[in-house]
Amino acid sequence: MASRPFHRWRFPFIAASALIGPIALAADAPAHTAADTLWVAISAALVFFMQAGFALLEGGMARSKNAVNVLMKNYMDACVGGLIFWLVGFGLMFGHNVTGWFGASHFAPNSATPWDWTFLFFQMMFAATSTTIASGAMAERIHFRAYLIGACVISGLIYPVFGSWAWGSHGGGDGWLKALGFIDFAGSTVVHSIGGWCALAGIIVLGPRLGRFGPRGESRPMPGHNLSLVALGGFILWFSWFGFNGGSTLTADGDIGKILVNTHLGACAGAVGAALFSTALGQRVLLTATVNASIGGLVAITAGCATMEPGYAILTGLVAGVIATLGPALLAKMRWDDVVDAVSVHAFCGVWGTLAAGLFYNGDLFNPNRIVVQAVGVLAAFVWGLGAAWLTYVLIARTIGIRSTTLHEQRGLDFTEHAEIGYPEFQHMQTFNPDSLHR
Amino acid sequence: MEFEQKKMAIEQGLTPFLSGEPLGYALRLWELKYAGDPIFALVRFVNELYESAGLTAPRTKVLQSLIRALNKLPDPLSKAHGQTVHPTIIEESHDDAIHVCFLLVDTLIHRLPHDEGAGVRRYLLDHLKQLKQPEPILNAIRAWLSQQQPIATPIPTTVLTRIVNLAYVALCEYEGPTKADRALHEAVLIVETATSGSKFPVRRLL
Repeated sequence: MASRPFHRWRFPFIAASALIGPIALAADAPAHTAADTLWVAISAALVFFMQAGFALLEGGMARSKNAVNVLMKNYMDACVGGLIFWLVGFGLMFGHNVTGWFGASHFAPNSATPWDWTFLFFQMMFAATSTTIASGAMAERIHFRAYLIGACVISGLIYPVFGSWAWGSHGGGDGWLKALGFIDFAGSTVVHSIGGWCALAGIIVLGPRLGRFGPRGESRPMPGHNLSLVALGGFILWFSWFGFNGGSTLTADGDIGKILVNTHLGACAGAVGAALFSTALGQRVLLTATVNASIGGLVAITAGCATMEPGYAILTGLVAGVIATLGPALLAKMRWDDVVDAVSVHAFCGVWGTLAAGLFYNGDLFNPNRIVVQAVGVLAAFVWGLGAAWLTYVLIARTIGIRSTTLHEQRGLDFTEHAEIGYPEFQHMQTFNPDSLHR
Repeated sequence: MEFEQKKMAIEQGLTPFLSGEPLGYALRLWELKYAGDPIFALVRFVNELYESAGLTAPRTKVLQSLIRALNKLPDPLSKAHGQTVHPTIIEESHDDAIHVCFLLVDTLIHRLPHDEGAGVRRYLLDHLKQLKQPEPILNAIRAWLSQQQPIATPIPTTVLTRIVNLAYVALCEYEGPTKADRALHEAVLIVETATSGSKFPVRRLL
């Protein structure tokens, strides 16, 4: 979205006096057609559906005793994230950006033009996506309330502030990265890398699950409880991505077709790249790795899907598949326990996709200036995303506590955080006292 | 319970799983090492059979079969006191909790190969301070863990729960969480069967 300067004239400068509080948004903005509104509204609904995809994917990758907790985190971060983004996030991200570092108007909007509501709705779904990325990585050992507080900070501060740098601003002014010419069409960095770096900060502060790494540092496999959910979640995410990337045109125009083709090719190539790479290494091709690799391909193609040719989209996806395969091993080496490999898929593949958008820019391939700008954006996201999230989680840990007790890990967070279990009729392996349920 | 009656019950319990020489060996082993032990010790007896007599059936099934056979025998306590509840039985309820707890920990440890079992025991000894209990309680637990001395000191149920959790954490460290979950679940089933007459359900310790 940030790379489309033609949008700037559509959303003219909002009066500097309207800094805080409910105000009318861009009242004199040019009219969008009904088709634009319809397309963006449908796309926003598709992006919302990604929450279901994440819930299934992450829920399936967790052990059955933590399934409800994972689903609840996905459900509730969409809810609190939506409220917080309306309250402060949208203003920080798209409000009048005088300094280039954050927006300072359009907080808690209560009156706006029809198009502004459509835009706000679409952006709200993006914020929810970025926020929910961290949930799977930190699964099975984080307190529910601590997670939700972290989700509020991501939705209300970390994501929108970086978004204002790269995509600001709807309400006037420019983000500093956008002014440099940073390209991130639908958010490889803005949405996915930021979410991924927040996830990395979270897992560093939390530490690994009990026994995830052996005494000599060896990584122990902890398989999820339902791979059918993982596959279904992968398909839903893929489907929803057509709204994520396609809707980022913000207009129902002829560009959509190529964007969708590139999106699909990126995902296909991600999965194929991972399968080929695993085969070349003499390893089995795992379902979880394949699903993650296709999502890695989607993450990577998100930045450049509007500005590269399909051949380069395939190359971007192939490399992302390899990155999604190698990333988890790197994290394991560092003893960082990422339950769903969110850091590899969203942060690492997001970095690659953002660089690829600069490398393979249509009509201006391998322009070093563009690549440097892309690298600056990637680095800024790393420093801000990881730093701010790390500080947030450390503060949470030192105040209300973030890590579940070992007894809670034994019993499972479904029981200890929610007093209900995912499979009451089938969950025979109980490590808690079932007589205490629903008390 | 008479020795001969108990021996017949053990034979009856093992017959579905062993025959011929292995069955004879198992009975001799029981006579030599376990005949005088309480029913809880069956867990150790079954574990030893797995190592020496080539048992292949699931442990839970073998144990259940043995306990079923033993439970068919007349209960000497009810014979002695009729149907009235004797004060000693009420006093035993707290002892039951301790017995059940340490049987569960014992079962968890004995399911492991020798070195890893010793490692878990060591882990428990090294981390007992985490329980934040008075020294007499810690000493009693320490004595049980290192020398299998019976515990006479009263221990609150919440502390017993934390001892089980500490054993689970140790299992996670040595075996990994997936195996630890399974081991805890299976050990609970075994102890549940072995202590079916107890007033203290083992799941209260989870």
